[in-house]
Amino acid sequence: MAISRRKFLGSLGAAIGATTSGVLTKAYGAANKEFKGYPGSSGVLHDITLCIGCRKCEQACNKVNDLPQPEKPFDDLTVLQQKRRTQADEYTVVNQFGPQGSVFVKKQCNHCLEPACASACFVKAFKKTPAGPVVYDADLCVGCRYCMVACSFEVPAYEYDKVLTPRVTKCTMCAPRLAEGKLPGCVEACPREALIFGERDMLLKIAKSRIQKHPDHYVDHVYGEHEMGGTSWLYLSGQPFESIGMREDLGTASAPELTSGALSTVPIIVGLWPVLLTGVYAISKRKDKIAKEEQDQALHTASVQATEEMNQKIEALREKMVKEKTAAINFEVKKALEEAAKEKEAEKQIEIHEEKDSTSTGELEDSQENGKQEE
Amino acid sequence: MSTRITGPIRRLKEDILENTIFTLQDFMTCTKGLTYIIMGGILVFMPLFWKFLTDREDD
Amino acid sequence: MDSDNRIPENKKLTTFNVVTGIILAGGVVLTILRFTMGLGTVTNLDNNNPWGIWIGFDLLCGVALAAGGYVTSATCYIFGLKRFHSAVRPAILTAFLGYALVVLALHYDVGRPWRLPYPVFYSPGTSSLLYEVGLCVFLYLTVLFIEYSPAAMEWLGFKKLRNVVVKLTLLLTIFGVVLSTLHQSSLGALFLIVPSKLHPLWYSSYLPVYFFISSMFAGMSMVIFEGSLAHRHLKDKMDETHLRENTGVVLGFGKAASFIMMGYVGIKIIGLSIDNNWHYLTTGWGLWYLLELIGFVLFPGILYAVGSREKNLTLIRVASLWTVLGIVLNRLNISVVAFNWHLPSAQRYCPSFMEIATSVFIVTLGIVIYRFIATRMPILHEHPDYRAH
Repeated sequence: MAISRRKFLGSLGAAIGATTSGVLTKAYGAANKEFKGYPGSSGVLHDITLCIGCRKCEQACNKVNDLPQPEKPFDDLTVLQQKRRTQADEYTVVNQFGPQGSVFVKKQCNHCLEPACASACFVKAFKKTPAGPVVYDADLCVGCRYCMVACSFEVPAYEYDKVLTPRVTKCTMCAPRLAEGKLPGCVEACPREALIFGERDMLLKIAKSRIQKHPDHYVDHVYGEHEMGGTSWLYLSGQPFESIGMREDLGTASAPELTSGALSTVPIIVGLWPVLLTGVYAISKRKDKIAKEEQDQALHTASVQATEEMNQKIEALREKMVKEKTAAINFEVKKALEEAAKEKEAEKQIEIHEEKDSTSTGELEDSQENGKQEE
Repeated sequence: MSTRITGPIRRLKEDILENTIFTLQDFMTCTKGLTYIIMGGILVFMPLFWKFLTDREDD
Repeated sequence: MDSDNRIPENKKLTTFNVVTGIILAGGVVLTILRFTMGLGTVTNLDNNNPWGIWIGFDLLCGVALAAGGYVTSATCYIFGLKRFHSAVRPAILTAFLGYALVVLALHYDVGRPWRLPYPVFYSPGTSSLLYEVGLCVFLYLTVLFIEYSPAAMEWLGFKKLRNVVVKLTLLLTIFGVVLSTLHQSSLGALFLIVPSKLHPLWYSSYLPVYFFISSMFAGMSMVIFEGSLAHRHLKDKMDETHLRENTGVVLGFGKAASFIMMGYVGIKIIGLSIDNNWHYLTTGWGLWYLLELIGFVLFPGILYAVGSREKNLTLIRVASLWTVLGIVLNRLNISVVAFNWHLPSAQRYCPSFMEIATSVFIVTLGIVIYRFIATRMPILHEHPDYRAH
């Protein structure tokens, strides 16, 4: 734990260094960076034209990895007639191809320069080592099998029958033996030098020079030079690779290249979503607030109007009452006056009071007319 | 691998191997590791900043 | 069926109880088998087909269909559509149970389930999209638990704590949407690493976008579908507000889902065009692809449209079930059917009976727990002490 943490911090430092040197200028992380893999790392060149299908490599692999003995012994070559893939207890298999069954192809982990299994692993159980092998740490593995999904070469296998301690298994390129200065088991056992171990750069040169020397003998392609970003294992063949069970449609993009776009989008979402969502929230809240204010305003105006109308009504009513009252009084007064006038007329005292009476009744009549108009 | 280097040059080589990133895979692991920490920081910071920005508003 | 649930609790032998009892008992047996005999005995998985329906259905479909949680809470709290308020709690509960069951299902699928916290706490493999999924699911499960907890606390009577948590609603909703965006899309991005294994019609660099967009209408459809189930079987637990708002929720989500589905069909066609995959459409795979896109996205999308125009709730409910099936089809196509399409049929994967039974067991477990909670806690109704309106 202590070591891994120190290493993690160390790599963090390196990462900061890398970021300051301009990675952030690109939207897609690492799009402007080129990585060439560990310098001087090793690999194996498998010259398929030299393989005789003796299964000595399978036997050696079984032995150095302490794998259980298979049902059929390794000198039983009838096994080759069936197409096989790597299994939990078979890290390497040889398959037979060609019209006469004369082509033999060894299959095992290709030890990618940018391994898909390591890219896919969510606990860093896979690691590309500087020496070349891609190694697996069972102590970290959760057993999710995403590495097996991710591997385009269909190499990692799983111990489905183990209940509590299932591991993912695959060829280790004999990393422990390499550390002791030994050759990988299969390479050591190969009687025909169909497998050569060495620095990958050197092996590439050897492979290309063989193609150059014997252009009729070889297909002009070193399988593994660029496939899936390049692999530590390289292959030379006399047949088209597609015809001997090796897919040529894998492309040259490595696993981390395929995922870096999606991985770089993640932090941008974290950066922008809270801003956007809070913005949407603030806008909707503001709208609610304005709507509420407008509603309040409308309510207020309505209540003011209502009060005014009420006041007006009351006023009108009061005026009406006043007028009615005045009218009634006037009517009574008029009536009284008329009666009085009649009486006075009757009493023949006309000349003394006539002028006074006519002016006062005139005023009263005027006000009565005004009242009618207003109504 | 064939020629074994010893002494200070070997230490230098180990030092370079230790501190340089040679694969895109390692690069992604490292930068994403740091970026995840930054993401966590952003998720904590943004709500607090929003609170600071708006806490004088009267509602 | 309606009357079944009104029967007093002392009558235990209802059809529902018998059937779920049998399934749960079977599940216990399967669980014992899984953890004593190993994956090799229980599943049909092999080295070429490391992921089966426990990932394809339980994880991918489970997460997509639990999207109702973030969709509904965002609609109500972020977009401020308060009339969706009564739909939030059931949706959050479904989402919480959905994610909890996804995590439970993972315990069956992975080799050493006790190490599931490793990616987050011990050895983070940050270059992996599965790490991103794992981290987000872990965080979102926590968020959903907190979002759900007020219902439990109202039931238990923890007033003070409940009021503190309710104050966090907006923050949790925003976290929920951020985390959902990330892991819904990352589930699609899981397959970006295998252009060599997934059929070109399904493989696209837009996979993360497809997964995220489809999770929206998946979530809405689940809210509608589940609401209709709850209406039939748990109506007596609903209060007036819930019943009154339900029509609006169904119409609103029906309309929204329809529009998003049309957009989804659009970006799927853009995907075909940008990768020039037209010629695959005339193959058998192409027909299967068109069945998924036309039969299970476009068609229910139109059903939704007609249903919401005519205010036909039945039609919308049919469309919601159809859409849910379409999501299941899509996720299974990507993870199982169109995955390893290049392999000869003898090497292809077909789930074992025990795998299917385990998935059925987990879904049943979810329904039983939902029913247990919804009949006791204030999910479909508001607690009388905490009325919001």
